[in-house]
Amino acid sequence: MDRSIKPKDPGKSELESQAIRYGIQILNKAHSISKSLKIYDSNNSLVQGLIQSMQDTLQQVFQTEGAASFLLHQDQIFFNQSKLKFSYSSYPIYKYFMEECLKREIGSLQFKSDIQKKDLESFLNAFSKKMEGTPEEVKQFHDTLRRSGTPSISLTKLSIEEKKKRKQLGAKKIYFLSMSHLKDVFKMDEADKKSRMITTKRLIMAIYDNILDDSTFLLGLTTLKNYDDYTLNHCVNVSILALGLGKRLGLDKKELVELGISSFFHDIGKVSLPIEILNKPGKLDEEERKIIETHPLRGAEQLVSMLQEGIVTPKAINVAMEHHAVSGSRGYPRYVKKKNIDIFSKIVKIVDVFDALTTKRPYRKKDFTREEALNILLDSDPEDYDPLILKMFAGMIGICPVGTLVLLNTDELAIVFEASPTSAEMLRPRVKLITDSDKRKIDGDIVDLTEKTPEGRAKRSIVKSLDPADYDIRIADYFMEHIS
Amino acid sequence: MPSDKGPLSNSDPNRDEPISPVSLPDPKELKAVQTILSFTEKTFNQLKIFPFRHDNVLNFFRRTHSEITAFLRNHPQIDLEIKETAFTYKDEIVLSEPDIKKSIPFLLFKDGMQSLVFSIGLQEKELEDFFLILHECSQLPPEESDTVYSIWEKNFAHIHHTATDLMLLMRVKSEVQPYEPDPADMFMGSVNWEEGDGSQEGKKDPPPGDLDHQEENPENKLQRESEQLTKKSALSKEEQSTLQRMILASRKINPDDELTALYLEILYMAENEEGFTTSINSIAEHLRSIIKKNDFAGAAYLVGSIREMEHEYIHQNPARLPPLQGCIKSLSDPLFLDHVRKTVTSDPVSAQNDEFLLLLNFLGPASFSLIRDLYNAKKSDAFYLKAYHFFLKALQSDPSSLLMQLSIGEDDISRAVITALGDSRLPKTVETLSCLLRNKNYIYLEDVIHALGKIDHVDAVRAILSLIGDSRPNIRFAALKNIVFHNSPSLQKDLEAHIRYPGFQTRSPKEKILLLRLLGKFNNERASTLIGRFIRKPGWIHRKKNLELALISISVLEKMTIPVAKRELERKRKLKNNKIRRACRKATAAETGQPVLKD
Repeated sequence: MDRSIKPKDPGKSELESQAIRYGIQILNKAHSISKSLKIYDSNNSLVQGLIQSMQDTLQQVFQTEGAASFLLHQDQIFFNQSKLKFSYSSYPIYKYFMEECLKREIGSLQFKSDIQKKDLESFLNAFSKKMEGTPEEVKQFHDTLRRSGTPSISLTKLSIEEKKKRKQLGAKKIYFLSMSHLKDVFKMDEADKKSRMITTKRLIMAIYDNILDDSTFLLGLTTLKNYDDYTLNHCVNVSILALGLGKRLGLDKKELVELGISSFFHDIGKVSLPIEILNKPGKLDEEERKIIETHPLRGAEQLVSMLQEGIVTPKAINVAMEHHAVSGSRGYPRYVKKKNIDIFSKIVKIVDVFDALTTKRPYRKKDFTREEALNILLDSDPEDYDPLILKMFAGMIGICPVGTLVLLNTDELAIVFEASPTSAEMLRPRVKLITDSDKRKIDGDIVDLTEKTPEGRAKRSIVKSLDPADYDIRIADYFMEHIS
Repeated sequence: MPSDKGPLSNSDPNRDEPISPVSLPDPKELKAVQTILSFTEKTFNQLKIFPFRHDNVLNFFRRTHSEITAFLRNHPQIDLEIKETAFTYKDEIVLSEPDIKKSIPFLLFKDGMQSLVFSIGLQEKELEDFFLILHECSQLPPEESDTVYSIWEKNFAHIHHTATDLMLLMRVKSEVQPYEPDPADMFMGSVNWEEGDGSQEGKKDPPPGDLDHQEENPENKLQRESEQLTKKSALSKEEQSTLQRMILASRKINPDDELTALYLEILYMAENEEGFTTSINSIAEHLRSIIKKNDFAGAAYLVGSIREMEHEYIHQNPARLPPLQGCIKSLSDPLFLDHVRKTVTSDPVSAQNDEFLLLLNFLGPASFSLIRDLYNAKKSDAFYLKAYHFFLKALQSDPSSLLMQLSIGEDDISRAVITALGDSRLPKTVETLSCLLRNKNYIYLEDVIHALGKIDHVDAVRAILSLIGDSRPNIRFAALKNIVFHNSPSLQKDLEAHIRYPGFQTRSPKEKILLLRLLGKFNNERASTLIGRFIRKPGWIHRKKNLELALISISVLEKMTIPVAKRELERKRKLKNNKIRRACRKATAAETGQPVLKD
């Protein structure tokens, strides 16, 4: 990846401040015109006045700045290479411009100094038209502009990679917002919890939408461990993994949201446990073990109070209570009367253990790779985990799951970024190269292992998977960096 | 960050040309949208009264759909902005309903919906589903419904919405800062690679039992592992259907049942008294909630389990008894019963359910009066029968409380209780029933007698016997009919006294038969002698009655097996009355085997 093409970061210089001011002013005017065009015809005097005003501002910009170009880069809008900063009050303008550009797949927008009012008018007319962003609409938009011949305004389309990155950026935001939100919920009192629960639901809806679009990247984010707080990080990871598994199992939309919320709060009972016990290095004594084993009950008790407020469903209590339960005499807690263990609990139990095994904990010498963790689960007592759900999970994770460090036959090291869409090509995912063949660290490309040489042989193949801890490699760093 | 401005505030200080509308948008277009929303509102309102397939709803619904379709012929979409209690179209209010209980905009607004768009291609089915969502959400308390979620869940192809923006939320609140890796660490330097890391003899040991493959090519090994995993994770058809069944079974679980089971487990596991008390309070709340939903089976199970727990804890955990008993007591609380009463009276059919009566049974004596009220409200025969069975069952567990209920009223349901008391055949009910007999004006006296008659106890017989001298023939007759024979000398004495009483002669033949037959059952000399006295030649006064009495006595003696009775009959064969003689002969002939000769 060529890191030099990144737009420069806005400094504090006067020139930059001026550019930022101009950028926001132009967008503000475009926003006003767009709003007016929803109500009035473009010949309306008010609209004409606003277009003229924007034209004047642009001329002013050309005189002082020499150019007027907007660039959308990931989540930011740059004007003449200066990153625009938006306040809460100007947020609607940012949102409007960003969304409209994305719908039209506009990557950059450049006004030329010879811009005419009629060009501006036809562009703004097309830009103000309501659209959903379907491929046909996008094509129609670009065709219209091309036909109308507005050479003084040039557009570039978003690249596929940029579009993909935008989705991934959304996933990253959801991920950290989830952690942030969970932290909030864990420490707030009952009354506040209720008001924040709608956000929980919306977050899970967003995770669902994201998983529907591209599950692999969000699953990749679950390689982030022990960030900020183990339990928070773990709960978000479990939620994402559970949604992924639930989707594979064929649960419907409503059930998946319920599963997401349930897994989000599955360890809420740990919040009230002493941190010294939770993070104790080494083996727990009998007393400490008993305390740890109270967390399902504590969690269930906490969720009961949220349930009465209509915040969570009984499934969430089930999951909090049963995610360590085993039918028979092992596991905890042991039920007195209740016979069945809910399917959600069975799902969360598997992904909970998987995430815990792949996370470095003070009481364990090492964390396991995803592959090792999966093998531990598969080799465990058949009573411990539901065998059918475990099979589905194994199929989801695969032999080289997203986030696995692999050695390629080219001697390069790489990280699996996207699983192969077909099980036949499970060993040919898309990987990010992180070293060259001499093991020098690089910011390599993402390559597709299905790529072949002209002779028909695979360009690269996975030789083996490696334990990132052995090489001091933090897998999550690469996912985060990829979209930062 | 300014907190007085909402996150969607539009007041930008940079804005230098505020827009102030000077004229309305196309009035025709506006009118069309207003019409659509007017029909939308009417459909919504009709749905509150009638089901969707009702003509009233369908008329407005079809009109709404046709208006939308007509509008979408000329416009790509209807884009409505959602204000607190109004819809706006192109900044003009097109529907406003300030009463939030009736307001469609508020229903959407409260869950964070900001805009709603109907686009070309909108299907009738989509619109129907949309209305049903609105209706369903409007029926729930505001905090329980979520229109944004319901519409999202439905995944409409031609109805879109925008709701609270997550990116905005991110900016508003960010407790956890996104993780930012250090590029220098990632992209500079080298990986600590050692000789042998690249081969399979590297750092990782081969799995146990896999030593044979040590010399295997790493790529092949990976391929083999991949195949193994594929094999391990593949689901057979049978497994697939098992999994499917498991999911379907999970869908069928009633959340309330699940919750009941969970509550009980939480209660059993409660770590301390405080947790126990909290849980038991939650259970009481849950119980109210399921009763409200008419889930009486669930409620009965829950109450039954609490009672069971109470029973267990008497010895196992006495410290937890007070909150438990407090909960049980609260179930008999008039407020709680009133809650049950309200629920059932809103849906009287549910009162017919066996589960409802089972619940009342668990609730104990305090609920008995509820049965009375419910029956009196409906007067249904089916419910009467159920009430009878309920009381019968209640008697087995708590007879004294039920008996106390008897003193309350003189209505139909009292009859059910009396019948149940009799059918229970419990000796302890005799006293209560006997008490009722003391009230000579009790309207269900005959029922009481009948009930007592079913109880095989000497006191029951004695109580009934006290009525055979009653002035009312129906009572006397009922008493005689229901006396159960008991070979008690005192009873015989009482009976003899009645028979000797001069008034006996004035009784109806039926009564006389019953009385003498009863006496006959003692089958002893004293009885035989007393009965034999009535077999005499009738004089001219009361001739008919005396003859009748003599014949009855003969028939009674005939049934007695003692020789004295036979001798008495033999003796009476000589009486100078043809009818008596013939009857005596007939009675004794059967005994002796001699033919009955005509006089």
